[in-house]
Amino acid sequence: MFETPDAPPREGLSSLERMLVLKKLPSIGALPSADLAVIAEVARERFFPKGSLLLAEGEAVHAVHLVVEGAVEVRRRGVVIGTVPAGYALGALGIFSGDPFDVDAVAVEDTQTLEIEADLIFEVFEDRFSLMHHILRDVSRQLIDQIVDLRLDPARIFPRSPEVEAEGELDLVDRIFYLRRMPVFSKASINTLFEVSRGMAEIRFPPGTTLWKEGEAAPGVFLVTGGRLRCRSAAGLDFEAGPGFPLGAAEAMGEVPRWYDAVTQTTVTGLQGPIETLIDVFEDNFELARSYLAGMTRGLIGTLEVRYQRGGGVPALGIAGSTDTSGGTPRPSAPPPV
Amino acid sequence: MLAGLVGLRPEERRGASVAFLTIFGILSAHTLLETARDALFLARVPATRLPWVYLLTAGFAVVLSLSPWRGRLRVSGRYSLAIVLVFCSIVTLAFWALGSSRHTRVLYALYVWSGIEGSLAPLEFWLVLTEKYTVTQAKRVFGVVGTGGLLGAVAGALAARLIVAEGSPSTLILVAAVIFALTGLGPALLLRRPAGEGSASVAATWASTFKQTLEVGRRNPYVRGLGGLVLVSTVALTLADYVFKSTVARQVPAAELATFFASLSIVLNTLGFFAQLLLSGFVFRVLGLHRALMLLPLLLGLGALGVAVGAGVAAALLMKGADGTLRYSVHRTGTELLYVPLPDGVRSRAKPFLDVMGQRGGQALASLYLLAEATLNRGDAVTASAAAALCVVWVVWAQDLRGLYLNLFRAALKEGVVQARANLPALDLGSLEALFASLNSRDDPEVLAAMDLLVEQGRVRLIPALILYHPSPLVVRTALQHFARSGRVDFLPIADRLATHGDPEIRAAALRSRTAVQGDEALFRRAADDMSPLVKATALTGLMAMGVATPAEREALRAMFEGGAARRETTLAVARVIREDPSPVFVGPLLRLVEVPEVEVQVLAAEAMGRIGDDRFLPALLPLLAARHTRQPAREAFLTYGAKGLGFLDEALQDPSLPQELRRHLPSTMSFFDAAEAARVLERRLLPEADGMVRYKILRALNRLAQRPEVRLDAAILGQATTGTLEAGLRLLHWRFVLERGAREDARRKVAGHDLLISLVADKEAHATERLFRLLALRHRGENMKGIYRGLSSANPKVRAGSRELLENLLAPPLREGVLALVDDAPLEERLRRAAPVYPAEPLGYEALLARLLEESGESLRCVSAHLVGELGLLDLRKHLEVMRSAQTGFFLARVAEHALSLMSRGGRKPLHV
Repeated sequence: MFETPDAPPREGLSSLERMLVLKKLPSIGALPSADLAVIAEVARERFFPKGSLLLAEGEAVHAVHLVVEGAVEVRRRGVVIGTVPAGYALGALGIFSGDPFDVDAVAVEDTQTLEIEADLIFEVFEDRFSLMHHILRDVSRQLIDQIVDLRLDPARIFPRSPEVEAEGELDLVDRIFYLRRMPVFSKASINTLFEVSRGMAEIRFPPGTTLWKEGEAAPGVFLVTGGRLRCRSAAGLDFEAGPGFPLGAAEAMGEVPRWYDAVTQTTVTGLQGPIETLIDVFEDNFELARSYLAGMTRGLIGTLEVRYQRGGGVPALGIAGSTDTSGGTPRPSAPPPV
Repeated sequence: MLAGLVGLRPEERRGASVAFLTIFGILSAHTLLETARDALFLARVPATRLPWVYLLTAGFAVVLSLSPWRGRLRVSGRYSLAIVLVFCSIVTLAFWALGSSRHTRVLYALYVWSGIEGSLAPLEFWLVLTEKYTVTQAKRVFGVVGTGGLLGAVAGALAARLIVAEGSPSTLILVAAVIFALTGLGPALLLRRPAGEGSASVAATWASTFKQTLEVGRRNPYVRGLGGLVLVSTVALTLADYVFKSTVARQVPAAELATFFASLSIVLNTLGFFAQLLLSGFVFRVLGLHRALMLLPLLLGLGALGVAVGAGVAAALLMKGADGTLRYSVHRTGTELLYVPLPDGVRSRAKPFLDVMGQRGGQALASLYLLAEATLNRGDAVTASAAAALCVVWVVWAQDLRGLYLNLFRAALKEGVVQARANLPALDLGSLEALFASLNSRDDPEVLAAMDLLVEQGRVRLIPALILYHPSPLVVRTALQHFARSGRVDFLPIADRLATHGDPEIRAAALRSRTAVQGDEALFRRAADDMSPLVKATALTGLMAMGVATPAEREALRAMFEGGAARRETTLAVARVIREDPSPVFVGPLLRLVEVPEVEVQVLAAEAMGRIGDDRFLPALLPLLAARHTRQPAREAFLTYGAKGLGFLDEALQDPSLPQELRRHLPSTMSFFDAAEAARVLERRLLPEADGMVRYKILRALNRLAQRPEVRLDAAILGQATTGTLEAGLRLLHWRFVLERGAREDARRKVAGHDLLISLVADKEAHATERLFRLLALRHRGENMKGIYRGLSSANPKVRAGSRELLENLLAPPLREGVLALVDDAPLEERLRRAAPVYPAEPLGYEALLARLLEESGESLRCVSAHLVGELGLLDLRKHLEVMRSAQTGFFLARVAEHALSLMSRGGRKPLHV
């Protein structure tokens, strides 16, 4: 079903042309060329004649396809929900989340792609953490974009632990117990959790305290361990955050400003730490970084599902997502969740 | 008992028992048949006809190995072995029915059949076994199985002795047929091939079978080597056997031959049995697989040499004794182990061919030689000499095969490994066309990408200056920056026009490019009146860079820099200009710029510092290594200082007062310097470094540096570090054992803190293992230690076994025993026992361990141990907690101790864990 015919319509891409394809991708194009050269090296050229299936609904995704020429239509139960044009990626969300993808992807014209197998992607990410960090940042930004655009309640999107309030002040061991309940840390090594915990300070805020305002810089994360906060944005977002909520994690990881005001409704306790600590921990604990990426990607897929259910257009994605966050000219929007 | 002797795992015992019984049946039946054959044949036919029979047997066996029947048999189901044995039973029974002793032709046929059966049944048996087990399991299981074979041979010989004492040798044939049937319908039915194995590629015709087999041999040097080994060993063994039998036939009366061979068979098989039981495991463990395989040719060759030089019966007995003792124990088990690392598809295709062609082909070659010798009539001494010479070839061949054997495991580990570094691709004509096409694209990212690639290829001059008229501000700013840094001047007329552009960012960029290439005082003075603080600051800095700024202009810039609404834009503008036109005059401003909170300014300042290279910048650059965004430019700046920069970083690394958040990034930074020098500096810090994280980072940096061939590392330092890390890993293994045993002894200990402590110890053990493999990678630089390390935790048992096998072959005792114990999946107690040569585990109780952890271990272990002591209410350890709380142990430890004491006083668990 995924076989590539022997004869592509044009000669193979030179390494430099592959680099050009990669550099055009909004999500990773800004990476150092040394990083992109590694990706260009492991990518494999594939040709799909019109009508070929690149992804099958319900099947695990094994590779990312960077569309070089042609276009791929994304369908769910036969209904077209978007098109991936040249310069965009197909399959990245499936790989990062580790879940099967609920779409078919069909070449609507003769299509040439650069295919990178999932194992190779993670191998490269592990060896060059800058790539992984870049993707984490990109996914986080897109998740925020989708939440803001769709006015979703982040409490329903972010992976988090059941709402269990911590009792009293948390010592280092209590923090480990607390962190282990969070899905993203559930499989992390205890050693790693110690490192994360040591980098966080336990803070208590009385009711009515403004933790931050929309537009402020987001240097760190506040993991709520007790109490409740009200979060509101100028764009009309209004949600409540309670114990187990990693407040501010997405924007800190995405390196974008706070996108809502956070005000305590009750006395609030939590663990506060700079995102830099977490990223350093990720660099030395790749599986944890991968688990975090999977969680954020599932959140992003969740937002795209909502968009689909609401009948809205679903944006095309670079390697992880689609919106150009590098400050360049925005790309024309194209549909599909990949 | 046998299982215990060879260390069989509980899950392997059933399979090994069934295999034991099966090979017992096969070999006892075969021995009976062989005894009958030899007795009947040699009683009626002279020994000089033996070579012809060997040839005939070889011919039939080769035809059989190339026929497509095996493929069809294996597709037919998982019971191929049972089918083969029932077939053997029927044919053997037919020989008995034909009255083998009456007709000479039937005797020839019986001889040939015993040879075919002797290849066929064991071949199918071992194929099933090699598919079932990994190389690690095979080393345990095959020993037991080999014992079964030898016991079967002994039992068969004993039975033959008893039967011929009472009746005719023909009865042996009937008994053999019955045993084949019982084995085929008994244990062999339980010894099934793994589901889905072996049926992938089945050739339908003789031609395709032959072609596929040849193709396997052509592509796989290991298969060829293995074939050569089987061939050489068979020829040598056949020649030795002939010399021995020839002597026996001359000296023993024909009527006593059956008794003689039966008796000899008992003695040799008994010797073989004890060799397998007592010697085999020891030999493989101490000598390793390949040296163990040299044992038989060495002894056989010695005996043959003795016969050749006239040492007489003693030499002949040594030769036959070595053959009988080792051929079906050490040699057989070792040869079967050599097949295990082959991929299933290759093995199922190659093994029948190699076994039959190697053994029967070897017999045929030996027979041709013997026929020639018979014609020349030069006597047994010449044949014995030839056997001795072949034994030498055999030894050398076994040694050569070792490299190919290990390469099979290496290749399996290499699959999917990605090179972390790739060279930037070279620019060819086709690529150049593509890049020019992209420069004209309407898509901004494509234009930017093409420009970047041209810059990286050192072809900035190929970017047309007219691109400055591009509608995208980002494209224009990027082009201006590239042009200015390349020293081009042809773009200046267009850049000057941009000084009046509507976008202040572009106006500032145009001024910066002017500053960098060729200052224009008038232009800057005009721009100094610009409404935009960004443009104004850029112009004023440009005037300063040219050395023509008036005191008023300097004061204006200082005022903007000091504060006010434009401070941020001013600092950014100043930093950008200095970055493009660095000069010693900016040392002071740069030292101030690097301290502003804006990351972009810090990055620009670091870049400028690197270009100026003033020593005063070194302390200012150091803190920038702690932050992710400034780390890379700071690293690049340090690099411009060369040896001085490396020395400065080395001093910083030795300064424990610096925060760990900074020190942990120093080793990696140092690894970017001259590789040989950086490695020398870093390895010196490997042992004395007290902080585990920093030590780990040093190790990682050394791993990176070790990829460079010019790096030489101190073996003594690495040896010491390896031993220390191994001991640390085994100590953690020991602690985990004590904790788990403690919970088994008293279930009340199994609280949340206990589970957490076990998890933490296991994590640390895993981390110690990783560090150990990083050190091993430094000591064995040609080996893929990363692949081996990953392979050890692979989901594929064959990959795990392959990794283990490589370790066994690469490491020398006692390190080997310690490392294998650390990575093994055996029960903890068993692993500790094996690690005893490097880590003698002292007796340690549960609470004694907790006391030790509270006193001696690192912060995390102390914290969890303290918590557990509180949770379990261990009053005997209360004093330890009190010491921890009151001493200068640091904030986190004191607080955990406080909570643990409180928990102890409450005598219960906190709800948080529930």
